[in-house]
Amino acid sequence: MPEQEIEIHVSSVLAMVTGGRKKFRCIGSTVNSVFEHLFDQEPSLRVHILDEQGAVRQHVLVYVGDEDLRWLGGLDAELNSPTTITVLQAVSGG
Amino acid sequence: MGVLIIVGTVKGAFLVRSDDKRNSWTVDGPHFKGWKVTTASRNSNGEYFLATASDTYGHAIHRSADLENWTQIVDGPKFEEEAQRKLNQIWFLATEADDYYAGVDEAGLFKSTDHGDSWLPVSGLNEHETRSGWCPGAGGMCAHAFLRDSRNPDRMWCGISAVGVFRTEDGGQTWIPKNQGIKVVIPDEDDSEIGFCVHALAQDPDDPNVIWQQNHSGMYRTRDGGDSWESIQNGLPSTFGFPIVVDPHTKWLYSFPLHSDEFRLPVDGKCQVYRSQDQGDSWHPLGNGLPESRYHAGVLRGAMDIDGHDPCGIYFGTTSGTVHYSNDRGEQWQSLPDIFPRILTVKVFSESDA
Repeated sequence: MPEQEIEIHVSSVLAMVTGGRKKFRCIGSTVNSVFEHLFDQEPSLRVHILDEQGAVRQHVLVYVGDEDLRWLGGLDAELNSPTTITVLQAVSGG
Repeated sequence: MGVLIIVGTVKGAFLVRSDDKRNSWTVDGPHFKGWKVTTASRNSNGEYFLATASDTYGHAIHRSADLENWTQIVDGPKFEEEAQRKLNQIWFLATEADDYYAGVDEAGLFKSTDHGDSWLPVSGLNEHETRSGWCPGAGGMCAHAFLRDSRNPDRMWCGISAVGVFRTEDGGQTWIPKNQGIKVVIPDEDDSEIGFCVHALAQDPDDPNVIWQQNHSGMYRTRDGGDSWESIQNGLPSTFGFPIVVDPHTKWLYSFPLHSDEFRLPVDGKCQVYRSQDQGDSWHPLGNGLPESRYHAGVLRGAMDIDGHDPCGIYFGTTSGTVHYSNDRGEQWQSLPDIFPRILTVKVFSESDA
């Protein structure tokens, strides 16, 4: 499966722990591998996006392009073309 | 040089500073805008640590030498995947000695021996034989109180809400419940050693065996390191409240009683700190300068602190976002003009001894 170039956008609240940086260029063939590339660049983000079991936190919303990651099969979802992944705070959060 | 107050709120931290006179203050913030700031500490090198939490994004510890440039600790406290526990919030950071401790919700204790770079669970407490009977209270199930024997660093106490006080004599390998004499709040059918709801602890700076406890069921004192506790309610208007602090110079005690566990409101609508000048034998209200009526905000367990000055300053933050302080052992009180978000923690540091 070919690797894709992905731009990841994180929320303003998360940018508080990245020194203000909100956009990251990552490479991977699945959402999981792209996130691992993100965490290589910015290790502080792992605990804020994934929970203790390695799943996306309950109130974190991840969009792949315009699609909610939950409807794409979760972190193992394959990436077939360059796109943008957006990490947001779900309305269900505090 | 002055006093620094770190006011941790549900939406960030505010740094409040004054000189030794503690009459006029500057306010800087919010730092970590949008994050809960749940506790703060300083180590012997003058580095500060600050714990953040978010209902969405989880928790973290951040470190700074100058209170402006913060670095998140990547390998912070974390439950093992197989533990099937969720770490919601860091409740205390004890970083004064060479080995650091952090208490968390869901109840757990973590230790760092590399100045905070990495943290490991303290299994002797986290996997305690009574663990299956631990139940959360209204504020969750958190390890929020920590004391250390200044004469013997292997001897420590940890308070867990709705569970009780534990003591170790062997550097944290084994922990023994120490709640005899305290009224049980959540009776356990199988284990009479747990179900005691400690809210806060304060320790005599000269005698580590003398500890005061604001509990869900009242104010208590031990003179034997927790082997036995006695009720010390004389003069207090209720049995409920959260913080308890001690002035290291006079050993006077300060608390903020609330009306019952059911209502958790100030007694009779008054903003009153209660002080004991006799080690807890009797308590008297202080209110000069504080709101005298129509006052309905509480003070959470981490939201009162005391400075090391003589005469001491006492500081507390409220659930309605106000900060009140006295620079003369509680005789007169003043309020900061700022209205902050709901205040979770107030930590005071002398900037001269950093």
